[in-house]
Amino acid sequence: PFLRGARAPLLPRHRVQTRASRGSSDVCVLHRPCHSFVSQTPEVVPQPRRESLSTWAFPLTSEGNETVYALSSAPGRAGISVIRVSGPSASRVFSDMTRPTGIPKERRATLRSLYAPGTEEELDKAILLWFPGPNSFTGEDMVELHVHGSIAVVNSVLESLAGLGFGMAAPGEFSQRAFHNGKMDISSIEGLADLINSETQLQRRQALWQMAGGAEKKYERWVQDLTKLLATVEALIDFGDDEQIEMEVLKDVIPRLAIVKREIDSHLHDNKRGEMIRSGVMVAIVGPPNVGKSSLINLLARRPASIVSPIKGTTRDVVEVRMDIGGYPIVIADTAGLNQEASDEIELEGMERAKERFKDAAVRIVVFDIGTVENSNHVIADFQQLFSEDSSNGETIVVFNKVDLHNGDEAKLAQYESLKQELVQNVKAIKTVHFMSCAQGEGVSEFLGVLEKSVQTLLLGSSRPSGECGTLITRARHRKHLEDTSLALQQAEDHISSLEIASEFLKQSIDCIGRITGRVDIEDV
Amino acid sequence: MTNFYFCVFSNSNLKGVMSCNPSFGGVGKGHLVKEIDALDGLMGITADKAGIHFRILNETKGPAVQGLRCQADRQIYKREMKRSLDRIENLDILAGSVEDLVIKDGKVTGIIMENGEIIRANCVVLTTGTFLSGVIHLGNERTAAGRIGDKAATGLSKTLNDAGFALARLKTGTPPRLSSKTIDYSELTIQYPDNPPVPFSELHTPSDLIAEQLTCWLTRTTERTTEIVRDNLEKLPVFDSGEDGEGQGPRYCPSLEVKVKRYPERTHHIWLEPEGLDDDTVYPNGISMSLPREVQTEVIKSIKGLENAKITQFGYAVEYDYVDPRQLQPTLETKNIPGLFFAGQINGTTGYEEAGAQGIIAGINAGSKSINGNNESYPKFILDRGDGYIGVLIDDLLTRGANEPYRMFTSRAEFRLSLRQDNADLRLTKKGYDFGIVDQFRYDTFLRKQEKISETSEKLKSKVLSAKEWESMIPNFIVRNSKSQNPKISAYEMLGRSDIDWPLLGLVDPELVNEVPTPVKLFLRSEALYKDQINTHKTKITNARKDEHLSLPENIDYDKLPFLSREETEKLKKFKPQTLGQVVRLEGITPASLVLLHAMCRTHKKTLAKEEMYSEIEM
Repeated sequence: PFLRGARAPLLPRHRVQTRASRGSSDVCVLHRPCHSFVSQTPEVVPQPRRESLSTWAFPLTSEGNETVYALSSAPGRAGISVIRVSGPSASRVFSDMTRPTGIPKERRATLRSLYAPGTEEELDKAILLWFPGPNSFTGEDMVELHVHGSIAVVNSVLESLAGLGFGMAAPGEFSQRAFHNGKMDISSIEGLADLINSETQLQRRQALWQMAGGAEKKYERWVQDLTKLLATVEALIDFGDDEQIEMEVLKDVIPRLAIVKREIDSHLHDNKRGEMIRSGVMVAIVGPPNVGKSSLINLLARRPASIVSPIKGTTRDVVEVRMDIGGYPIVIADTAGLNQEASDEIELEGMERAKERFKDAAVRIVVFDIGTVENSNHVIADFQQLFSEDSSNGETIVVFNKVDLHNGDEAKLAQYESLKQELVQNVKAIKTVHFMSCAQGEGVSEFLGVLEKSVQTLLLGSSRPSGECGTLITRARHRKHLEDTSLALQQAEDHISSLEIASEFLKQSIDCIGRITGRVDIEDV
Repeated sequence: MTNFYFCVFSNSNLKGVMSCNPSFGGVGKGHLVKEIDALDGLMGITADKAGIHFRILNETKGPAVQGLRCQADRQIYKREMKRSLDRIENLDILAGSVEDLVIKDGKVTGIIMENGEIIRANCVVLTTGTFLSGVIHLGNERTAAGRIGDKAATGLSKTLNDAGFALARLKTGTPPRLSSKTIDYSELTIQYPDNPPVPFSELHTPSDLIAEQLTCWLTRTTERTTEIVRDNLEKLPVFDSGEDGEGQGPRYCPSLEVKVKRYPERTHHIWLEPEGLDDDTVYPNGISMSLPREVQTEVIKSIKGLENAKITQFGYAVEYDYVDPRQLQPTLETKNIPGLFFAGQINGTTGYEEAGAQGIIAGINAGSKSINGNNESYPKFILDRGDGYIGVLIDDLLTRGANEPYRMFTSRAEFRLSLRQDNADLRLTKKGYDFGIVDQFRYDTFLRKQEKISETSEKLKSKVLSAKEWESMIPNFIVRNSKSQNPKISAYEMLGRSDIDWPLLGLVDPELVNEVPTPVKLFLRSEALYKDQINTHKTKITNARKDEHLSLPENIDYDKLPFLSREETEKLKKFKPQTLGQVVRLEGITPASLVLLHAMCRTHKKTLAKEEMYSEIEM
């Protein structure tokens, strides 16, 4: 996780790309808050680059760090590694480090020998690409060096670049330069960060859409609509008396305002699907102690993520696993068993955390031991006692574990069916009841199907089977600004009889949307 | 050392002559008059003395966007203005036409009169109006003049051009004047003046105004009018400016011809406004035109009530030179010629109020510079966008320039709810007094008002009743949306509701209302009504000022800034902004570049502070 501060990176550090590239396994275990998985883009607008700015400060004599470089691919041994250089002196790579010298044709791969500047020391044979500004990623002159992916080669090339007086790029600096040079808006940069961090197909699709400016277009249209409305209101204020156009025009303003507000509100009412796609659907496994919750998570993770023992209360804290289920990202949490006789302080704290998770989760898996279940009333009582909180938001799946105890017992199987019926009928929150055995693997694939279905419904909405994710809000930051927009529009509506006050709120609403894409005025900087 | 202030008019009788509509104020423009008055300018005082029809525009809307306006008697206005000017010490009034400027070593050193006489001066304020290479158009007739009967100034244009100023042309117009005796008012809508009238000046009460106020009348163009204009469009003058020689006129005060072209399906209203108490002339507001005389006669005949109206002077258009105002400093001194100031239409504005607003700023600063021995670091009087409409006007001109005659509106002011007519004096009078341009009498009047405001506001805040009590005392009134059942509400909070005003408070407790002067009532009502927004504005203004006044390093080499695009570099080099605020309002500077320039300014400020510190240590 990256600390926020003056050097908050716009993009994850290059090191993060490493982590993403390592993601061949679909599971990795994180014992930390799951949100830190994806590096957080700093709230708001990029901070001015303080360090490099000092060289731009008056007097502007030092060329210094105006040109920067960085290893853009993962460090360590690889087939090839990519090093990027950006800035006004980037072309010095060709004049000072290659044989033959001279700037190659733009955007064409060129094979050259690389030399340490001013020496006869050959470093590597590399493919070089020349992207003269402004038609480059950052908008500045850029050189891309595709060198052999050896630690020695990469280090010697990086040293040579430093020897040319180039500065090491700060994390996210290339994107920052792209932003400053008007190549990308903030929401597109966020999309790029999401793409680099994407682990599931859905995340990839959503990130690509955002990176291509999809979100920006939508927000821009609202800004346009609202600006037109504002112009009408202003005309009424400044010329209404003159031109006697008053009331008929105002009649038109109110519904137009309502339309934009409705659009924004319905955009907001997406059950946070976009954010869930980005950071994963929160799934919590809860239930009484020793019913097999940890076995279930280990089974899903296909590895012993959580310690399993016959001792009650083995799991004390929340254990999280990120995984991909049917292409959908989830963060699944194993929690401490809810023991009504608990008195141990640690156990009580663990239970608090379990309940917290239960409340926040989008999908809840409530596990019971079929062996200890006497009848449905008993389960219903337990359920209601344990989860007195309103749990109707989100999906709840009840799992009865350890069905292997009753293998072959026909009578028991009939009982299962009636238990299921009674639970679904009596507890509103319960939609699905599933019987399985974590130990024997019985019913596991069916369970995965059930879980996948729930997650899919959450992410895509039940009405849309194929994933059109392009219209979703992907970040809390966007949501916050849109909520502010909606609030300001509400205020504008409320004050429509005092046009000059309504106009203030309209302006405010436009500012709020503007903050999402970073088209902000200096006040916000 | 004695200072002489010269006021040169192209004709000695012309002080206070109004070329166009004899009216002052309006929506947005009323704010300017109030601000000029708050700085002890003469416009509001004189308009009050000459006003024959006072009316608040936008009266149904909130107080921040209402516009004080009055029709003035031409003769009285001119007489009163002359009287006030004659009373000013150290002011010599010189009649004659200015032919040229004397510029030596890049500085202005005087003016050359028509008769060849040279008058030496450290500072010159040029207010050329429509006279700078002015050409009057009437049909296809072209006459070199700035106003009917007055010669244009042509030599100046060349001098200004040679001195490096970018000149362009704008157009404005005036309608034909009518003889009131020949108008049939019987079928027209009457427009009564406000009773009591509200004066512009803080020094006046309604009793200082002319008691006999006149009425105006409202009529409309007809379909026949539209037809006549449409059939004669080819007889329109061909102008130097605008698309296809249409003339670059004021967009928001278009000529009749433009209205017909733009809205062929509509008819347009016309205000018939008297030009004076003992004057038969009527100004038909809304139909300025430059069609040939015979067509104008036809047009007038086609209008209801004007069928037999006699035209006393035909309408015409005038086209004149103006200078790109982006070449000015916030003091209205030009950037390239020290000592030379511009104000009014020469900067691309339209209207008396806009001209007066610039005039007072240019005058104050030219005076200050002159008194301070022409030293470049003279005390400057600068208003910004948070100070008032004058600040908005000047800043708009300096940063955006003017492609068409610039007219003030309330929507140009982003802090509209804070910059009101009712607090112009609270915003500016002390500032003016501290600078030395507001006299003691006005300042004392102002202090008394301030005292009355805090006294009344205290009274209102300490009068607290429950919601039920308020409801029982005010007929048909319900406190809605309250969180608690029966909340306590002060009279001040009540005043901030859009459905409560002073008279209703008077019903509850006459003590609160009695003996509160109208200006105090207006001010407190607005403050209470816009309380929330005013607070937001305060923060925004503070923040904006912090950045706004961050000065850019001098002699900055924009070519060396890697983050600027070529267009940005060109723009910045051309207009040499001095503060970050000015960069913000230059069109076409990306937010990205702003962020970086902002950081540069901050570093620069720190460097300056350090240098200052070091120099102090060394001393």
